[in-house]
Amino acid sequence: MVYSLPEEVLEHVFSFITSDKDRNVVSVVCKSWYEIERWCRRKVFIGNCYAVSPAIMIRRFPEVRSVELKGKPHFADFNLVPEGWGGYACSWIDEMSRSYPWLEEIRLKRMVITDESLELISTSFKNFRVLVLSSCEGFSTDGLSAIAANCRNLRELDLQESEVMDLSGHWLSHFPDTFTSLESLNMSCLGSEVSFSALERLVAMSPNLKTLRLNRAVPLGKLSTLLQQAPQLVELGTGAYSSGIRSDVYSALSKAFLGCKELKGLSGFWDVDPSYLPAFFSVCSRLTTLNLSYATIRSPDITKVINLCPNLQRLLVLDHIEDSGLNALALSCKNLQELRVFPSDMYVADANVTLTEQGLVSVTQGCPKLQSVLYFCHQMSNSALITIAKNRPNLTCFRLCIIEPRTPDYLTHEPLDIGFGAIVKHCKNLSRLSLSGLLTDRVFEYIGTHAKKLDMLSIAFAGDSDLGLHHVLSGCESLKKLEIRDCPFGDTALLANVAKLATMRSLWMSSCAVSIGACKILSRKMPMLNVEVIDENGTLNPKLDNCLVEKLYVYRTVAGPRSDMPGYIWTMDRDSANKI
Amino acid sequence: MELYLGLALSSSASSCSSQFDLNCHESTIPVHRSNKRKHDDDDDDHVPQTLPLLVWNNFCCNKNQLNEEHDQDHDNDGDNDGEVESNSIFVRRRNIGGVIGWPPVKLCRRKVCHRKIGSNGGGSDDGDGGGSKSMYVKVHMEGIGIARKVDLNMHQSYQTLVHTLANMFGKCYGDVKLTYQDKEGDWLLAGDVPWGSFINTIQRLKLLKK
Repeated sequence: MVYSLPEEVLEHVFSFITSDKDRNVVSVVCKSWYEIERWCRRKVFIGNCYAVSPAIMIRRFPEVRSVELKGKPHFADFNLVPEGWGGYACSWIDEMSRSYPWLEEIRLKRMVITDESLELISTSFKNFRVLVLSSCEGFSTDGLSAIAANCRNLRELDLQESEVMDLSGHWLSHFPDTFTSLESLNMSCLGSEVSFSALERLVAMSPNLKTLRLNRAVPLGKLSTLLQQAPQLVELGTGAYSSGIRSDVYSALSKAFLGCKELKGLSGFWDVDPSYLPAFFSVCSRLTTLNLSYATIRSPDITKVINLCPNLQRLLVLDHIEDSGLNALALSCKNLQELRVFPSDMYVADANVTLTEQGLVSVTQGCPKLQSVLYFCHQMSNSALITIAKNRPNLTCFRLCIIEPRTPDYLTHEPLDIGFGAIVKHCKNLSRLSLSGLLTDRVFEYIGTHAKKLDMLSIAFAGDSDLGLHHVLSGCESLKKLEIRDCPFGDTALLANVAKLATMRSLWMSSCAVSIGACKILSRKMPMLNVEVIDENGTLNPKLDNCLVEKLYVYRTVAGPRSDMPGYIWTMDRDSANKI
Repeated sequence: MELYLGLALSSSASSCSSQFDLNCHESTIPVHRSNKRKHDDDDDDHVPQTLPLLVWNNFCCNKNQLNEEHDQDHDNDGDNDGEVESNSIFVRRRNIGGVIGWPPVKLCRRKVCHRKIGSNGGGSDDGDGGGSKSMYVKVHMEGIGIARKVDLNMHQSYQTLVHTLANMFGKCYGDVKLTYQDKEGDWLLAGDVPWGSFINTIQRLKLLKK
C-alpha cells in the first residue's frame, strides 16, 4: 500500500520551495503533485513572453501573486531590433486583470506597455505592491499618475532605464495624503524635472522608504533636504552632482550624509564636480554597491573614493578609472564580487585614458570573490586572459568587449582563441560569456568542449565558418540563450542542430549567412519553434531559397505563432499575410 | 560542386539532421570559405563564395552576390575592396554611417558618454526636437584643430554647459576651463556674470586645458 501525505502537508512543504527550477521539478513527479503544486505556485517567471500565452499561464497557475515577463531580444538594447517588433504587455495585463484579482507584483523587462495598461493595473489589483518596468517603453507620466493615485498599497515603483514620455512632472503629486507604504522608488530614467515639492512630500510621508533613485534633474541643493527627511535610506541615487561653488550646499550635503547610517548603495552622479565628492565620504566604509558609471571624473578622484570603501561588493565605473584605479581596487576591496567598466568614448581610444588589460588582471588577482565581470577596453592579450582564468576560476559571468571588432592579441597579433579557451576551461561554473576580438572557429571548439554550464553566449564579428556555430550548438549542454551578430555562420550548422534549438529559450542571428531556404526547412522540421525572419529593408524575396536573411529570431513556444507581428517579419505560418 | 564535411560526432547526436552532410538537405546550402587573410586567391576558383556583404577592416571582402535580386544594404558597406588597414578607417567612424549597435552600450549610457550636438543622444543631427529655437555657437578646444558647435538653448547653467563641452572633446569636467568671446571681441572667463547676460553677449567659446 502506498501512503501519501495529505494535500495540506504537501502544500506546506512546497511553500518552502521558491526557486522556479525546483518548482518545475516538483510538478513533474506525479499527477497529484502537479495539481497541488500548480494551485500553490505564487510566482511565475516567463523569460520570453511569446513562449507561452496568458491563457495558458492562467489556466495552469490560478493563484499567482507575482509575474515576471521579458519581451524583446537582448540585442534590442543596442538598437538591433526594429521599432514595432513586439513585446506588448497589453494582452497579459488584460487577462491578468480578469483572472488574478489578488496579483501583487508585476515585473516587465524590454516590453511595451501603454498608459491604458498602467491604469488597468492600478484599478484591477487591490493589493498591488510592486511594479518594475525595466528597459520598457510606450508609456508616459500619465500612466504613472494612475499608478500613484490608485495603488494604495504600493511598495515599489522601479522604472529602471525605461523610456518614459515626460508629459508632466506632477505625477508624483497624485500619491494621496494617506499613502505611506512606499519602500522603493527608482525614477532615474526620467528626463525632465519632477515637482520637487511633491517629491519632498512623498519622501516625508514614507517612513519605510529604503531605496530612492532620483533623476538627473534633481539639483544637488535639494538632495540634502531629501536625505534629512529619509536618513533610513539604504540605497540612494543622486541627481546631478554639481552646484557651482556653493559652500552652503556642500556643508548641508555633508551633514545630511553623516546622518545616513544605513546607506549601503550609491548611484546617480551625473555631471560630477569632484569638489563635492568628499561630502559622501562618511558613508563609504559601509558601502557595498557603488555606481559611478555616469561620473566623468578622473582616476585620482575615483581612487580616493575606492580607498575608502573596503566593503565594496559591486562597482560600476567608467574607464576613467584607468589601470591605476583598478590596482587600488584590487588592494582595497577584498569583498568585490562584481565589476563593470564602461567606455567613456565609444570609438576612439582616448590617449588620456590608460585603461588596458592590466587593470582587469590586477582585479582578478586581488579580489578573491570576484564572480562577474563586464569590461570594455581597447586591447587584450591571450596571456592576460590566461592569467585571468587561472586567477579567478570562480567567475560565473565574463563579458569582455574589445571596442574595435576583430582586434587580435596586441602582443602576438594572434587571434584570442586560446585566451578565451582558458577562460572556459578554468571557469567551470561560467554561465554567461560575451566574446570579442579576433576569433577563429577554434575558440568555439574550446567553448563547445568546456563550457558545459554556459547559459548565455554573445558572439560578434567572430568565427570563420559554420563549424564554429556547430561546436557551440552541439557542445554547450546548458545553453539557453545564444545571440550572434556579424558572423559567417549559416545554414549548415543551423540545420545540423535543429533539435538543440528546442532546448533553448532563443537564438538571435543578425548579419550572418542564413538563407531563407534554411529557415523554411527549420520551420517545417520544428513546429514547436517560432522562426521569425526580420526583413526591415524589404529586400527579401522569400521565393528565392538562397536569399540571405537580415535577422533571424528563433524561439521555442507552446503558444504557436504570435499574432502581433509587424509587416517586416516573415514566418511559415499559413494564416499570416507574410508566409514563406 | 558540393563539399562534404565530415565530423566526428558524439554518439548522443540525434537523427539525420545532425549529420554535417550538405547533400542531405533540400535547398542549396551555401558553402562558406574561411575568410582568413591567409587564403590565396586561388581558393576562389574552387569554392563558390556566398558570404554576405560584410566589410571588415582586416579582410578582403568578396561582394559576389548569390542572387541578383537580393541586394543587401548593410550599414557597414563602404570601403569594400581589398584589405583595409586594421586601425585606420574603422576607428574613425562615428555612429551614423558606422556599425549599428556597436559597441554594445545601452542608449542611456551613450547619451552621457558620447553626447552629440544639442544633447539629443545619437538621434537626429539637427535640433529637430520640439521646434524650439536653437542657438548654436562654435566651440574650440585648445590643441584640437576641428571645432564643434553647441546649442546654448539646451542649457540653463554653466555646469551643464561645461560638462557637455568637456564630454564632446573627451575631457573631464575638472580638466577644462571655459572662456568666451563677447560682443566687444574680448575674451573672458566664463562664470562671472549671470547666465542670462552671458547668453546675450556670447559670440564663441573656447575650452582651455587647466
